[in-house]
Amino acid sequence: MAGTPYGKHTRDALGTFATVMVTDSAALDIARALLDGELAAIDAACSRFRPDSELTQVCAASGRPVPVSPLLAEALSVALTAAKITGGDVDPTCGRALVSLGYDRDFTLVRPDTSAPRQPPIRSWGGWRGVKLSAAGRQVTVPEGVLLDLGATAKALAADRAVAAIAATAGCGALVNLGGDISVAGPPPEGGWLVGVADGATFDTTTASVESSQVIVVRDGGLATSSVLGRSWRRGRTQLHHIIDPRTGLPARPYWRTVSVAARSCVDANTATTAAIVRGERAVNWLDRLGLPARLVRQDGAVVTVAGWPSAEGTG
Amino acid sequence: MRHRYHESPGGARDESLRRVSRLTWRTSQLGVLATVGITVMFARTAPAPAASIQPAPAPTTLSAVPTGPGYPTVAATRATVKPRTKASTRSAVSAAATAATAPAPQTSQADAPTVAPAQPAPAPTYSPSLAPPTTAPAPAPPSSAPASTVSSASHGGG
Repeated sequence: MAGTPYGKHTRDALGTFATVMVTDSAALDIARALLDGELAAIDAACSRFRPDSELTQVCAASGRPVPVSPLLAEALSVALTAAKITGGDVDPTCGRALVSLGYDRDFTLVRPDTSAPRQPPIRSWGGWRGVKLSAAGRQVTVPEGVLLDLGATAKALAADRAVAAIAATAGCGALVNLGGDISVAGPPPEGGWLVGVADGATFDTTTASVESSQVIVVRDGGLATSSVLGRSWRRGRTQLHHIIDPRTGLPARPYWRTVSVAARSCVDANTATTAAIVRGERAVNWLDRLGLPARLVRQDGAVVTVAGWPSAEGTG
Repeated sequence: MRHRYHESPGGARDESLRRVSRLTWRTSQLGVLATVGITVMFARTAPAPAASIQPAPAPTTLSAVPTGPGYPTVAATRATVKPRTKASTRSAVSAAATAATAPAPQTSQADAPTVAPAQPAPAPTYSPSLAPPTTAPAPAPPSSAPASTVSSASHGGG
């Protein structure tokens, strides 16, 4: 049957879920092992909440250059490039702004705390330009006081890396889904990968399932969804979410509640969805110019599709 | 001086010949100097155009790693496409030099072994380029099975 995976496994990871699917069931064990290895590595390198992570060490170096692993160098390079090509809309230096808004620990611990913000907003506009990665990628310098948050790109990078390794190693088609950031590689199953696209906030953590608004067929590249609904919390009387507008240091004005983008890689897709949330109404023309198939859902539920995204609704 | 011509026509002719001779000599000197100057100028500038044409191979080396159609192009490629200044030429050369010290290119998916080796294949390097997918997503056929996985906003985690 079209889109049916021959092997599938889901587990908790990075505070959300991780699903791997392969077109050859015999390859599932090796696929799981490769995904587990990638997740452990990305968490150790890029977590903002682990005191022993490389990222934490780099940010605590008071502006001194710090040697970094190839993986963190790659994650930083991806984050800085994302900032550059989005004109600074996707800025990895927004960590301090997130902390000031109360997102200073694993998200499962953030929601229960509804106390008023203790700090004023912290703008990070253009802060990414101050982060220096050496030409050889062996050292990084983070300006004193800057806290990096690679959440917008590191998870997508992990999905891209993991699925490429699985497809190349196992020699079959593979799909990796990290909390909604999807990357596929290798020959897809007959009929392609069937992927649901969701824009609601309801999420069943026991089954890692969520109600789809639409089902589409994906054959290559990446697919990502960003929303102001998923990681949202309350501080005092203010409802907040995790996508920061670097210009203000506050959550981006919620013109869109959800944006989904298909692109050549999951990193591309996630970069585009995050920037689209920040850009608001202007995102439609921007995505169209780039030729990125996208589905944008306004706060009132109205759906806008661009660049060849399948328009049929209610197929899921 | 003009009065001399009137005083001695032979002396005036000699004087004119001397002037023509001096003029010819000066012109020759200027010609030699100009030739030397132009030669030096070309010698100094000739390599520059040759270097500015080089960026073409840079994307290949920079992508050190990206392989196959499913991977994004390296953003630095864009920077080396427009070598209008010496600075950009230098950066292209520098990037190429960096790539030269990078690990050997990775195996592409097309070359992937069909038998699983003991170790995972080296992962390619990714860099966002906001490129569209090779194949645009399509609507699911009405008779298809339920979706096997969902793209949604992340819930929880860091």
